Amino acid sequence: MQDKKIVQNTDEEFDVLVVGSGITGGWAAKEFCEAGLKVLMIERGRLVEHRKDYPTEGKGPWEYPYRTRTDNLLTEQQQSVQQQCYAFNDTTRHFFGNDRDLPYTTEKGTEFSWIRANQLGGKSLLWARQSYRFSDFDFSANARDGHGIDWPIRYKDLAPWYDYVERFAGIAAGQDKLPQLPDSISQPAFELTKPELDFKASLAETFPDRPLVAGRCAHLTQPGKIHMELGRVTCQARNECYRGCSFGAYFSTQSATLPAAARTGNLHIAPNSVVHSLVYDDAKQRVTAVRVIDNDDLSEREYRGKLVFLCASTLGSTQVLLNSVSKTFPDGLANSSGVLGRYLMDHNYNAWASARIPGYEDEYYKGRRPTGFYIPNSHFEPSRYHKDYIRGYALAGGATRGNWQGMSSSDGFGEDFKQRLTQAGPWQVWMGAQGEMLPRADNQVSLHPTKKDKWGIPQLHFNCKWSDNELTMMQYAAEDAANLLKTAGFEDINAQATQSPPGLAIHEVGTARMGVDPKQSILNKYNQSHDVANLFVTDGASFCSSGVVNPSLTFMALTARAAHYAIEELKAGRL
Amino acid sequence: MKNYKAASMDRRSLLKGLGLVLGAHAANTLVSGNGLSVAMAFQQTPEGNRQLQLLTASQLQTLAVIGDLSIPKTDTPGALATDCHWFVDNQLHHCFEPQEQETVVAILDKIQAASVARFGNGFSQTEPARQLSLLNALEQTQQEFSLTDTQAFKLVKSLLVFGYFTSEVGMTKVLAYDPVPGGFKGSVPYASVGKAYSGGFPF
Repeated sequence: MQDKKIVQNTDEEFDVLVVGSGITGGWAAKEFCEAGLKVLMIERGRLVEHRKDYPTEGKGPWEYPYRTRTDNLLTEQQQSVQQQCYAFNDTTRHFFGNDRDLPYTTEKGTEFSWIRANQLGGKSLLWARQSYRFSDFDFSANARDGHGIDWPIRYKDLAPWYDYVERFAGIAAGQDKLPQLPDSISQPAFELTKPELDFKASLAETFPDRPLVAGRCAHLTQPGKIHMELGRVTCQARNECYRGCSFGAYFSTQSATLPAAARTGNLHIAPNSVVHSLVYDDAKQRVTAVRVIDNDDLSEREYRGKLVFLCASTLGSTQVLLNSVSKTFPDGLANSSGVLGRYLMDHNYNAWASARIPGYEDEYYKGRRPTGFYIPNSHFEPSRYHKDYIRGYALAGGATRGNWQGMSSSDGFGEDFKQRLTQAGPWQVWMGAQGEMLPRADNQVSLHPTKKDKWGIPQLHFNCKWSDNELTMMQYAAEDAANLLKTAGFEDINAQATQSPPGLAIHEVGTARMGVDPKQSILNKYNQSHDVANLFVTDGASFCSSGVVNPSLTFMALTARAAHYAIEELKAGRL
Repeated sequence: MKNYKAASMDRRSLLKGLGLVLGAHAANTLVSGNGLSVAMAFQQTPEGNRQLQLLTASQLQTLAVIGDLSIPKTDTPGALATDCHWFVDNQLHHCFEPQEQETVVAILDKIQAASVARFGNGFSQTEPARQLSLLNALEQTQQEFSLTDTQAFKLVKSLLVFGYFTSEVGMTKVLAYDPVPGGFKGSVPYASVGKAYSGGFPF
């Protein structure tokens, strides 16, 4: 078995240049390497070696100076944006970007929280691992209600590729047979707790259109040979995934796609290579190279390749395209349509509800489950839309027993107080909404006319906000979630619609969308640029709508499909 | 640091240790509430290479007693032996806003002043039964204590409790410690575990 080769300066022309090493970059590299093509993966950040570079894994809170909390001053100065992410704390902060080096601007009256993970593996190390297929209702929503443009693909186009990536990634999920949530090729689902099972039964009786299923996640619960030969084993239910997992139990670049690519001997990696732009040859009408600035010494170099897969994250990829100007493309590469940067979307997490579940004092669980339960969108087609807003939302949550954290300021002293705090508390249930955001041309990123980052790359300027549709949806989502909990007989119900800006779902999609019409879209139905044949963008930038479900599984399927299309085109001599 | 820790294994020896470390004069100063000079003395002791970040020595003493009364030594060590008072001082300095820091300082001073007014002694020099009666009044918003005081005390207590249950003793000895569960089971009898688990993400 061979290992990856680290590259810095080279004149070699690679078969494929893959920009980025996260979920999509990892998949692209794996598919091309396995097809016998020589691949250079270009990563702006440092190398992170599986197992070796997970410095916080397995450490107890007492081993941290602030018991996993972070130092206020340091956080304020270096990670004031990053710290808004739910996964940010002293055990994970080294996988988040440093905001001082990653400035961006926002239009007056708007906010956007841009979460960054610039290292080998990217956000695949930090993702929440929730994995759901888009359904045909998602792919046809734009066409049916008239918002945005139609996706150029349907479920049947992607279904075999969902199968393909799921077998390799490993998705723990049930077979739930729901029209709005197609089943995955799955490993055994994580069990629901007893109160969750009873909640599910209660919902089935009182709200038949609100099924509750086990949250589907990219964890191995029954690894097969294809997983174990990469060194991946069963999830141990530590739920410390964000620190990196030496068991390789959750899907990341490091655990899965990178070792698969590396063992072919075809994988080359150029770390610390911040992509400035793509070099376009006006005569050949092709991208010929990727221009990078060294992350450390700011020197400039180029990597040459026959084919470019841009997998730099939704906003990263679009920033690179916007900054790649040529005679043919003065407004950004592959931007003859002028829609590059437009139709930015995220998911809306701005509603939640919680309650206390009476009883079940004799019930407990073992382990820390890395997922929860999931109540899929019930407004999945126009005939099912709510009268006051269009599209819909899912509810994700969990029921667990409280501990000392819920009693830490309760009354009492002495042995009784101490004893009480060592016992499991009441059962609590929490659910959060994940709502669809409509594609709107006004929600846009562009290059700032004057401000640049330390690598000399123009900063992204955000103009993105929730529309009334999203705000109204969240008001109802909070009421709805509370109503589900109330009807189930739970007590002490709290519910709230909140006001966080876009960005914090870290599901940013759109800005270089696919489409049938080259005048309205950047990419064709294979994620290939309409304008430049040897350029593909396979990350979230390509989305025509946000859908309701978490996007990463679809990133994987789109990337694998696009890579195999490109391989066939190369073989046929058309690329 | 090591010596101080050894001397603070229980309440009585902590208070005794304080006298040894600070000397009779400083101990008297502490009773009279002159926190600054005590703090200076405290920091200059050869045993202590740790520095107070926010609190005065007097406030630290009050906090130590509150920790000991809240989470005493039983068959497992309590808040004193796990240095929860030192933890709170450090945590407040690094991870909390100035307003929260001031809230804690103010309520510790109020406890001290109330003790002097009620009993003629500083809080840490007072009988445990009297200390408890004072803290109960504070928790119940009675007598000289306002609702704001009660809320401020909740912050103090939650910090001590956080310090205790995120300490190695708290997590591995007091609670059910299961660092590598090996998988997830959705239903087991509570009696088979018998107490709360110590962790989730991030602990």
